[in-house]
This record gives sequence, C-alpha cells and structure tokens, in this order.
Amino acid sequence: MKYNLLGNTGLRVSELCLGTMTFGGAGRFAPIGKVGQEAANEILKTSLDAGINFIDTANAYSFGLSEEMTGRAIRHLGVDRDELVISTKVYRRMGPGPNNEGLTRKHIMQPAEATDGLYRPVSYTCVRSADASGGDIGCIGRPGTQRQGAVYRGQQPGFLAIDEGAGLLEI
Amino acid sequence: MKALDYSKYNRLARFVSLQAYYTLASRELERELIPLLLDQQVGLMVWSPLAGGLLSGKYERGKAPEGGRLAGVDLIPVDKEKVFDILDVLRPMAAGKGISVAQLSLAWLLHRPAVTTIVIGANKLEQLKDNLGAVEVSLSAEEMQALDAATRLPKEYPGWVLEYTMKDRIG
Repeated sequence: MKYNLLGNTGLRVSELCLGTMTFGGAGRFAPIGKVGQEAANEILKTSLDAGINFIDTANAYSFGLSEEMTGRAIRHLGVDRDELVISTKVYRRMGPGPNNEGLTRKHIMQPAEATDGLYRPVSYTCVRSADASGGDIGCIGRPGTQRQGAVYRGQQPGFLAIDEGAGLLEI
Repeated sequence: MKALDYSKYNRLARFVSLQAYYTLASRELERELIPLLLDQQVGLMVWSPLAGGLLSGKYERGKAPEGGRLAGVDLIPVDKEKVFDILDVLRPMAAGKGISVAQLSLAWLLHRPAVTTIVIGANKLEQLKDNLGAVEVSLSAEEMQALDAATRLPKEYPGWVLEYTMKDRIG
C-alpha cells in the first residue's frame, strides 16, 4: 500500500480509501448495502490490516448510521484514532422539512451540534474535499466518531455563497 | 476554480481534494477537471471506480444482474454496451495476469496521474479482499496503452482544436 500526498496538505493517505456507503442500509441506502456492525468491524479490520489509513463516509449515508457505525468500528478495534484520516460529506437530505438538506451553515453545523460539543471539530484532522457532484467542508462530529473531516458540495453553488463555504472550511 | 481563487485571494482555507467519479468506463473527468487538479495541486478521491459494479466482473452481456448493486440501483448513466466492449478487453488481460477484472480496473486508476486515492466499498469481505489486491498489480506501458485505446474518450471541442494548435509549439 502506498501513501500519497493529499493535494497540498502534506497529509499522507493510503492509495485505497475505505468507503462506508454500504454500512447500515437505512431507507434509500438499502439497495446499496446492509452491512451490520459486526461485518463493518470486520471490513474495517481487513482494510486496516492491508494498510488503509483513510476512511470516507457521509452523514447522509443511511441518515447518520454509516458515520456512527464507522465510529463504533474504530472504537471496537481499539485503533488509535490519530493514525487515521477520516473524511465525511454533507449536503443530502437528512430528514423532512425545507432545511434538512443543502449547504446552509445551519445544515452543515447541525451534525456537530447534535453531539453536544462532545465531538468537537479538530482542524488538523480535517480533510476538505470537494465532490464533483457534491463536495466537502470542515468537521462534523457524530457520537462514536470523535472528530473527522467534512464536506462541501459544489453541485448547486447557488445554495451556498462561496464566501460562506470558504468560511466553513476553516472549522 | 472560482472557489479556489476566492480562498486564495481572501487567505481562507481552500478545497484540498475533489471526490469524483472516474473509471475505465467513464473518463470524462480527464477533459477539464484532471488538468485543473494537477495544475492547482488538488487531490483526487475517486468514487465508484468500478462504475457502480459494472466493472466488477460479475455482469455479463445479455444476463440480467442477480443480486449485486445494479439489481437495485442503476444510478450511473453509462452505456452498458460500451462497458461490455471494454470488458471484452479486460477479461483476457486480467486472466493473462492471473488477477480479477476488478483488480485490473482499479490498478489502471492507480497508474493514472492525479489520482490520490480510490474509494472502495464492499458488502462482502471477499469483494474487499479482492479489491485490496489491486495495489500489488503493476501494468506495463503496453498494457496501459491497450486499456487506453479501449476506453479513450471521443474527441470534443475545444479539446481537439487545442490539441491541433499545440502542434505549433516547440518543446
């Protein structure tokens, strides 16, 4: 496994990254995968044993379940969290209502707030990644994950002024 | 590019990585975004490197998918006939190297410029283990050429005219 520099950050990430969209299987994610916690633990262990140090998730994957399961798997394995680089993404709908999706400051910050400050964003572990159909900002915490990178989606830039997006990258 | 410049000239954090769809079955990213990523030193996290499973090797021309992600989700708008033509090139090459079609498809990406990491997800451990094996695969210049010839993008404006006028330049 090789470790490549991620952009101009100086971070070294494994050339394969573990994607966790198959974890959970809630709602519209059911056809993509219904990996349960035990299998997720095993998938993570196999990945780390092969040298992977990079994990990608999203709050929308199974409506938060994927992030939570990823965090639980990390804790279950007793892995040193600082050895990992975790990126997550925000944009897609998380529930009913007009504000439960998108790239408003409110929707981006809600997942972090949901943890009562227990899982504060820590900038040095952040990965800021734009998704061609979506993207990446800042840091979002969810119980079990402690801290991670975050997401900014550029799909519909009209939904978020660039200056607001850039400000959130500083999280 | 607009967001990168906004961040630069306002001394704000910038996007450090793009997460994008890029695969032997769909190389559109090479038209404009990959040149941008290389020029701007932005990382690339590839999603759906096997085109939603089409390049996993388990789908065949004329056969309806059983199980597998494609049975439930058919999101990616690829020309399946074109993919089957690509698979006709991949299968014998993979067999000759003693590797899977999925490993060959992933290895091609690992040999491409700009790719920082490939996001791989799995429902089954076997699938994950197979994918992890891609990091051991090396491809010769001839093999890369054969894969390129089988999957090259059709010429489009303004790419073809730039290519034509570039011939005037020395060095």
